[in-house]
Amino acid sequence: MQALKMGCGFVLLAIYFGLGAAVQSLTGLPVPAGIWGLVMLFISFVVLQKVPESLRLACDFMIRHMPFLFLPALVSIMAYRAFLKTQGLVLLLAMIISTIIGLALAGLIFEKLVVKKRPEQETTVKETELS
Amino acid sequence: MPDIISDSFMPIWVACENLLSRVMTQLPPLPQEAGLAWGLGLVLAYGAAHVLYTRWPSLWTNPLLVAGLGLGALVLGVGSWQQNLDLALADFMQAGDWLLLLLGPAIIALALPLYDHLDKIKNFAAPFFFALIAGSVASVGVALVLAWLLAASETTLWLLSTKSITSPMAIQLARVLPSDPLLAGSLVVITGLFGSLVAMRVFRVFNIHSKPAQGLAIGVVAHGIGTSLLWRRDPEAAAFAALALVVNGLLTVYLLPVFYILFA
Repeated sequence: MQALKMGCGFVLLAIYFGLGAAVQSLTGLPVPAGIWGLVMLFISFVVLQKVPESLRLACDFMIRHMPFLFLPALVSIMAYRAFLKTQGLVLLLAMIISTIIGLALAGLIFEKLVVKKRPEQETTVKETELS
Repeated sequence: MPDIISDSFMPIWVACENLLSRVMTQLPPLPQEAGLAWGLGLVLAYGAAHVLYTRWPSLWTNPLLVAGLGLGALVLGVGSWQQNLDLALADFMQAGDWLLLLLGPAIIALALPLYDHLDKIKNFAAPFFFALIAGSVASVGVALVLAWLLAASETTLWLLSTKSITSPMAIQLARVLPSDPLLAGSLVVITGLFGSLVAMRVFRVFNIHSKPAQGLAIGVVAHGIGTSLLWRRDPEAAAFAALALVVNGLLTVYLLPVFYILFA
């Protein structure tokens, strides 16, 4: 039963993607079809004021297993051995340092702004102790 | 009368046909035997990594890391057996191209966390955007300055400029920039993987403990991969990550071509 519901959810997601593709080809903007689909699905949820069970199951499955779809891109980097021989080290170094700085800066600025603006929010903020 | 009706429906019909033919021409070819075998390999590798992660959830059992290393080793093995790594990779990508294609629609699912935690997000709208822009500009800016100081090639610089947005958008952007679409996609995945591996350590060092701040930071630099991992442990933080990745992607898609026209 759950699998059937999830299947219906996937069909609905596919329909939203089709609608997104239609909007993309009509507007011709550089916004991908997936983003248009996301916006339309979000608006549907707001209008309905709830998330149908089928869509909740399908979306949860999709987000949970998204890394599966990233696997080919990860493995296919081996096709660029020649390029990486000269540029790989620079690429890796720049990626590592900028990722750490980006993470720290975005998090710190947000926390500073929130604490300064609304001190009462601090009580709702729970400490997360993960991995 | 029927003619009038069918005539008035004609433009809609033609539009549908155009759309369909455009979609058909953009699809990769159907995988042959070797491609199908790799497709099965992909599913099995991910399935095994997923089971491993649910049994022993830890930083180093990250499903993408485990399955990626396993498959990479397998492709290398098959490549050395065939004495042609590029042939093995081409076979692998027969199946892989279809997964890359599915990444486009996968992003739609992020509407769920966004809707579930809409109230929380509304509360933080203004600081959210400031921090997002700062994080986005810093992560791209630092990468570019560093690579430029290290005398990187032009392609490398443009590759780095799209590293922190979700891969369908990065691939699309890389097509209009002097960059390489597939390599840009790979760099995006490596950035996301690295970002989700170090995120919690960085947060501990810099004392970033609130869920929205953590989600935002992960969404800005580690896009879909970080968001997906966060979703398993903390849906509320994942909502902020989802919004951050969408907004960061849109900002980059619009601003980067402008920079290209202005400076290159």
